[in-house]
Amino acid sequence: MTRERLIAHAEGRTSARERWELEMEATIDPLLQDALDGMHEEGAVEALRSLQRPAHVPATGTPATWWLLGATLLVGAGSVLWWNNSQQTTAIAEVGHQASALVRSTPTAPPSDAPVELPTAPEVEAATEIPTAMRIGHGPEDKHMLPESVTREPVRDQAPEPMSPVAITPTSSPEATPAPKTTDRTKRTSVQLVFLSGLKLVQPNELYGHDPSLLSDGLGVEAAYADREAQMKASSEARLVGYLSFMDEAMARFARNDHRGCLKELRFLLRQYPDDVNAIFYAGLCCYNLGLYERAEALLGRAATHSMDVFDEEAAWYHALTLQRLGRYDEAVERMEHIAQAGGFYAERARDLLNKK
Amino acid sequence: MFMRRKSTGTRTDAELVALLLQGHRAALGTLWDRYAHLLFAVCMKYLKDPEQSKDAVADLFAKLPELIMKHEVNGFRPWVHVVMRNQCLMLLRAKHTDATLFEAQLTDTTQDTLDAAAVREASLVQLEEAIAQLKDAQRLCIELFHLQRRSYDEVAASTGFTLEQVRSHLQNGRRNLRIILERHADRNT
Repeated sequence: MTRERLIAHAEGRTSARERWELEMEATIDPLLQDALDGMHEEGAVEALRSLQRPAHVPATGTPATWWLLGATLLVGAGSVLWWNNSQQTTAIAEVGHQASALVRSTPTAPPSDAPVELPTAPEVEAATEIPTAMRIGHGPEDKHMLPESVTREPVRDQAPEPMSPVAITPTSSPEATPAPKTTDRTKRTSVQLVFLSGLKLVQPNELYGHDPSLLSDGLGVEAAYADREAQMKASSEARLVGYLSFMDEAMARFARNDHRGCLKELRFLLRQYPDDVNAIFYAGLCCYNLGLYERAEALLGRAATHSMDVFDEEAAWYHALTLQRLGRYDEAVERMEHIAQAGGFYAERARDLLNKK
Repeated sequence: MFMRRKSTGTRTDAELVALLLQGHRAALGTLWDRYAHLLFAVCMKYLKDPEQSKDAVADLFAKLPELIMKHEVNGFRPWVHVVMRNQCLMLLRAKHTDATLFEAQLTDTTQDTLDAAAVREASLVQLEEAIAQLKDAQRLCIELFHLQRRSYDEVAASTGFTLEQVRSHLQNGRRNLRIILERHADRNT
């Protein structure tokens, strides 16, 4: 919750959907609820706009500041860096950025105990699809797009324990027990998969021990009902959707390159099941294809290290590609080398990219 | 040669608290970026005075390193909220302002949070069964807000209730849902 968003909400400049999301979040976050209440007081908005950091609170470095500082350093060291990088990263630099761009040392994945931050509704609305040739996740030879005849992953080492759903606990109750941790990352024996629109998913039974229901988006319900009861009845009939039916729609959107529509669906699912590996992986692909590379990096980074490691190879590959897009070439090279050395599905592609002249 | 510096901007709250305990004051800046505007708004709710609210937040951040050392902070967000709120209530009492209404609301807030969490955790099948047992006004508001995802003002517009009534019906509705859901859980154990 940024200052700008808080002000926008207080001034009524947010959509109804955004207002609902904030109000819903506030039901389990007393700090947020008190803040929303406080912003209705007279003078709050103007005062918040002028709220300044006191002298005893140090300023934080901003990305703009770092890029400026980095650019200054690079003017002096640019030619040396280019020569060094050209020996190893020519193919990656050809993506379109100078290879000597400053690499930020921010973590490539969010801390393991923090939920992945999702793109906001305004971000999704404002995003623009990248050119078709640059999109990821639609290649017929990609690992997550194997034919539907494949229903099981190869047998691996250890038997899985079914994951319990992530409990949504109040964010601010001192007595609340933390959300249950997912099991340690271990290789699994057989994992039931399902393919929807030719796209691989982990069966929900494997994730939650049962097939959960979701509330459908309800956006298709006609608003022009004169009778409120009829409208509610119609919307209620569309309300409950099984997980696979929900994902069927989301994957169909992805398959027809409706990344924005798919991402909206997956955002909704992730609010209820924030650790859902299916949603995390495909949301990462959607973000990449919408040019939301920072978001894609976080999501794909999480999918690559998720305890349900069904997408680990494809997520690691796409994560490396995303690092390229972000100009984090050292990290991208490191990951590509790891993929190449691991000898997995994307090893050859990683070697080709690293060795490309 | 790259100049690398760890950014505190991507740290979790727990990591920032740990850094602050170690004397890294940059962490205080990040906590300010994350929380100052929220805490200011919290102060506005209780103090209703912009300048006093700004001062209260600045005072809190001046004392924050010391407070963190004195108290075991398991969750920074709820902890700082409680600290800020208590500071506001002390200011009100010092001004001989009647803070009893706010104090009475504190228990309600905790209970509502737990009720809301119970509603969110319940499966939709259980929720639908429980909602059917609510009184009309509560049921209507719960369905519109929780199931149809309408904002408070949309619910008010649809039902003719005031915003305060909507919130009250939702609060009471969630509490009753929680009771119904717990009763259902007890029957099944």
